[in-house]
Amino acid sequence: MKELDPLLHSQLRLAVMSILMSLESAEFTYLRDKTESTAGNLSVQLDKLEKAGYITVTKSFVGRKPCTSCKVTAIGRVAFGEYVETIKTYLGY
Amino acid sequence: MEEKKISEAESLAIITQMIATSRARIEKRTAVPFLVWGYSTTILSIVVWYLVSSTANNNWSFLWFLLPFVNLIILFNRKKSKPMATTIIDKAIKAIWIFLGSIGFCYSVLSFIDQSNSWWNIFMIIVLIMSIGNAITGFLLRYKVFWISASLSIAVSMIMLYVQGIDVLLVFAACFIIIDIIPGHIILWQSRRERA
Repeated sequence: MKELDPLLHSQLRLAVMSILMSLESAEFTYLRDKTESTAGNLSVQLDKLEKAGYITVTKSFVGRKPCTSCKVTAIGRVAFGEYVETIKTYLGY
Repeated sequence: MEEKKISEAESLAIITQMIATSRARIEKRTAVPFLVWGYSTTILSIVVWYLVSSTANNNWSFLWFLLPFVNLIILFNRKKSKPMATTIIDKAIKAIWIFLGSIGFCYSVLSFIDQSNSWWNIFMIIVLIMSIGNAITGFLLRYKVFWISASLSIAVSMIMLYVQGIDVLLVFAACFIIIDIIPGHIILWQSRRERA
């Protein structure tokens, strides 16, 4: 049986990818609220996903406030699709 | 939420839960502009109708130009106050409404400039434009209520063919209740019920 992608097979990273898959883009604060994670932990996990090429992280300013926006990449979409297919075989769907 | 290893069943549960969470929020976000535009247009229609019919002064119609500003201020403040997430459907809906809104605005300005013959027809054109926008939004969001309300408002707007002068505004207000206010409240109610 095919091995699950270790980068996605983690609670917080999988939650972030699941949210981003159904969105065009999402701000850091939105992801933090929806995943009920801490800012520090979320930053670390976003960094790992970005380094793997699964997401892009864009930093900008809205007025005077810093704004971090995340978006899933084509590589991320393929990886997530493969992960879901593998999960299905594990669970016998 | 901690960074920890999970079982296959747990991962499927996370995927399902997170997708459902973001969908509930999208629905609520969609409802607010409909309610803002619906209430402001309906109230302004009745105010303009009352002022023009009681004073016989058509210059009260210039109050319509308040509408875009009032709505832009409300929607801009709302956008600033909340963490943002955007879907592809959000972008498509926004583009459609900017396009249709621009057409409606151009027609409105032209009808103000040339008040000679069919000035009141603009209200029927606006209802048609809004109904088309609603129907497209409904198809994109897979909401029957939008295209049902669009069809109903087009049917009601035909009354405008038989109503003369300023009273057209009362039919116009009724169309906006059907086209914006009722669907907006239905989406908001459904979104709250799904969250509960």
